[in-house]
Amino acid sequence: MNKSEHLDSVIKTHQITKEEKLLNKFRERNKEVKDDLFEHYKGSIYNPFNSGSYAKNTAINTKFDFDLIAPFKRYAFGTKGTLKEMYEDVYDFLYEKYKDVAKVKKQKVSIGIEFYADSENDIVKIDVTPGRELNEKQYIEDSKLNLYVYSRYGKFDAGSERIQTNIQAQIDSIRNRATTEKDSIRKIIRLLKVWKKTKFDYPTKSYFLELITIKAFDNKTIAGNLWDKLKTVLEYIKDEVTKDSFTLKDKGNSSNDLADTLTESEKRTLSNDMKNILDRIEENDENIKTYFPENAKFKEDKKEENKYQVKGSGFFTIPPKNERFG
Amino acid sequence: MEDRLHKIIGYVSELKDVSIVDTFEITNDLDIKGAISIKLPDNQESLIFEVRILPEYPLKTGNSESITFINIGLLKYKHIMKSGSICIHTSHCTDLRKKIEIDFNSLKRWIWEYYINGKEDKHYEHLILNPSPIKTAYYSYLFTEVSHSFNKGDFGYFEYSLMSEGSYYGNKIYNNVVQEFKTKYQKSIIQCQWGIQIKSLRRVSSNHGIYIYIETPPANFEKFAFETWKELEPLISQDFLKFLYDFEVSNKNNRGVNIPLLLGYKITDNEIHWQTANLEIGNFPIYHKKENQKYIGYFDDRNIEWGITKNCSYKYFFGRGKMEDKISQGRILIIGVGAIGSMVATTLARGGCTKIDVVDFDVKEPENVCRAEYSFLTGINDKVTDISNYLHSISPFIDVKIIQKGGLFNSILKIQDWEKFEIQIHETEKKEFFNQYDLIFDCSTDNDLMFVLNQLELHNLISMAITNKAKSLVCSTEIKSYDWVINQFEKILDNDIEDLHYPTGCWSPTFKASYNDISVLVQYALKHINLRLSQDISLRNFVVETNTDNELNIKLKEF
Amino acid sequence: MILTNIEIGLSIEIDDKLVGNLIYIGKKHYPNEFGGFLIGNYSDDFKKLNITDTILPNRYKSTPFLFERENIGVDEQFEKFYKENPQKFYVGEWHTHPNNLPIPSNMDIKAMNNITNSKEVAIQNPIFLIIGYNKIKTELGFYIIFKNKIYKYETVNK
Repeated sequence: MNKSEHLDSVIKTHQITKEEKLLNKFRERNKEVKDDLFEHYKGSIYNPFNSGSYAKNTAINTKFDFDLIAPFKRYAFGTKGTLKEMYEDVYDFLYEKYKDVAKVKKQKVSIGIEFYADSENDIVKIDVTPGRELNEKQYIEDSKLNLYVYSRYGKFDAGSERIQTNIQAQIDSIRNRATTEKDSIRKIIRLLKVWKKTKFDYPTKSYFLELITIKAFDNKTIAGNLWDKLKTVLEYIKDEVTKDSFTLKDKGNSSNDLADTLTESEKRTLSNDMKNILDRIEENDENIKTYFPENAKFKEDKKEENKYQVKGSGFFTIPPKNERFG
Repeated sequence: MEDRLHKIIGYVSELKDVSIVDTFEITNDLDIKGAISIKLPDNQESLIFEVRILPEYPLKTGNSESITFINIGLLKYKHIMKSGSICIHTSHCTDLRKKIEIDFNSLKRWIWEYYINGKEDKHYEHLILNPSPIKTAYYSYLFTEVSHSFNKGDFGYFEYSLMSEGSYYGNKIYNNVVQEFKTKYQKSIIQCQWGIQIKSLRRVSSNHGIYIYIETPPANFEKFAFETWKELEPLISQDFLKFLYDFEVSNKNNRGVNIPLLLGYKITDNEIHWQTANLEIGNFPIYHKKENQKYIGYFDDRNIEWGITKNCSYKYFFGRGKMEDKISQGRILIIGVGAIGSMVATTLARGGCTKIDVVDFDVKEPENVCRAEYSFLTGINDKVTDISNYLHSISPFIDVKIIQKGGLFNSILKIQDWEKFEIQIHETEKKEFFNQYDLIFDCSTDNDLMFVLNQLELHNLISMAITNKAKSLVCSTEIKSYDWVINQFEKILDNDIEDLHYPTGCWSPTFKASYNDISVLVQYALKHINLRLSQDISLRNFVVETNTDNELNIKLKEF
Repeated sequence: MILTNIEIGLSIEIDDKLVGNLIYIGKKHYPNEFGGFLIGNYSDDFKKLNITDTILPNRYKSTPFLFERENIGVDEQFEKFYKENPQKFYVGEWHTHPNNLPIPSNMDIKAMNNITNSKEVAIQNPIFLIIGYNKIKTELGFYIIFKNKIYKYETVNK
């Protein structure tokens, strides 16, 4: 089996253009939520914008990652309003608005709106992350926002108000590299996302995987076919992520370290997972399908490719000696 | 003989700081006996030891050293027997000269640590005593710590149950478990911390055990247990002597009945040990005098018949090794207790788990015994009943709950076709049931069940199954692993399904493998799970593969 | 006749005369089983197998429920076929099930696996033909082990 060919097929079957119809459903819901937020918080909010992998050009069609950033003005929740109050207020609003058509739940820094399956059994999920500018009108200058940590997020405790970042800068940094290096960086990021999707509720953020992929490309010679490239990145993650000196600077705020979004145990698990992938594929090529499965929905009919085959070069056989049939 | 004697004398004389002060000679028992003196480091003082070397030397005799160093004047120091012989523990060595050197060094180490530096060991050494049989049988009393603080002089009754009879160095022994401490007015104070099965053993009639908390050990030098009752007198009150007197009087019809007396004393700041001594009704070792119309009691100088006690508290019971707290302190469900499930169950029970629920609707038949944790003696028996009894026989702390037929398992669990409004209700019910457990082991090898559990997205589910002839064990630990497991069985592993064992009769065939084949895989898998939990690394699906082309090779492949 | 398995998209072509011949030889051994080797080659796109000839075993044991063939003394015949133009080679085996259906028994599946996985066999996917017959009826079953799974070919036309 050719591992690179398989990986190419993984990427191909995960292209978002293959899910045009579903993508449109996401776009519509996304617009709806965006408009509702803008309408409800009129005057207190800047333009909500998309930050997920769709915006970063790294999306896969099994998980569109429509993340909506809601940038609030400094005094949107009063002069003494806290980030917690902001988070709770947005949650209350979204809950009331969508409770009949979706599951609305509090997540690490965002609020998830998971719409109930429609008649075609499609489920649309939009994550809304509320953020607030640092000082009045400063957002217009620097795009920086303060986020609220609802539940423990790596080393950030629940209730922490320490996350401050420029999400637009985050998006741009990934988007630029993923677009200019679309045969390497973008493919690897997409493959890592496909892998992440095979694990249930994996603690590593997509942004983490994006950054670490770029860091691997910046620090290692990554060449060869697609499998060679992926392998080098997996090895890089395996070796680096558990080191004490390991950091991943947030492109939106260099004093943020994305390495802090994982606990020590989660880092050990990530490194161990990389090791397992490498070892298992080394042992048996077939295992690549376990970690990087094609999207069966768009898998081209493979039977066209089936052929009678020989094991080596020739056809000549003297049949094996005694065989019993019953 | 003479030659050996001369060699020994020669070797001993060569040793530094050692001199022979009484000539070594052969005794009538063919032992070699003599005395030596060892110079202490400060050069001021020497210690003299009588040395006795048995004919087996340099090999051990039975389980004991065949050389003894005796100095009766050193009894107050640690690690010395009542006979004055020093407890040395040395290494195996078959060369006479080297062995002598090792053993004398060991003696010097004892002198340095305990005689010169007065070292106090961290761990407690129990009293040195020889339990005596009552008539011809021994009695043991097993207890746990209790969450009650006794005050010096507290006394009353204790209740106990006879657990089993057995043999003790060739004599009969009755093993009892202490159940409960009560006041002298029979009011309950506290129960021992046993599991439900031990607690429910039938109790020996309620006033047939007496305890007193004396706080300090009934011993000389804190280690040699008193020999006579008289020695105990300073540690007990008149109240207690009067209580014994009254007890014996009011039980005079039970003449000859033995009453265990538990003597409690402190061994650390927060730990009590209980030592038992036997009292026989009609023959209590007490007498009294009336002084000014007042009862004054005494113990007489008869010998104390010490019995056997053991602190079996959880921390001691599992003191030699247990599994990770995440397993042992968790609430466990085992689905399916066939070959694999029963091995998981007993391993967890021995690993310190105390809360294990089991579910299985199958019946144990004699042919299950050869490769599962069952006994032939219990005959045909529901597997859950059988395994529950077996687990209770392993651990006194375990509470096994049997998930009854008719509950969730064979009503709603496998039904797929619900009306839309029912789906949520049933899913919540199922999730609530499974989420009460910290770990669920699905050892049912029931693919339908695996499919259903997969849908529930349980984070605490571990499923284990074995391919034919126990070539591999497939263990899934991740959420939504159904496809992975099926793929392993159908595509990846060499699962020979033609050569199965077909029992006579009309039921499904089972795979072929012996107890040894299966348990080596199950233990390997459990050890891996235990390891990952201790490393705080998330559990991943894995396969344990064996290769028997040559010597046995076992490889664990984590996915 | 041509047979195909739709699931894997591969087919077999076998000359009707050869089929008739195999049935005739097989039935001669009634009530015992009998069988032999199948010879043929592949189409240029390797999607069709042509079965052209059979080689019968020199040594075998057979009973109504068992057929055990050896491979002694057949080398020359295989070599002869291999020298022909186009080349012909070992492509599988056939055997009969007297008074029974052409469904592989456990022993058959085992043998099919052995042969398919045998290092001595050059091709990856040998074919197994079972001829089931009784007094009034004869049925053919062509099988292949493809990617570790057993598939049966169905007749498309006669």
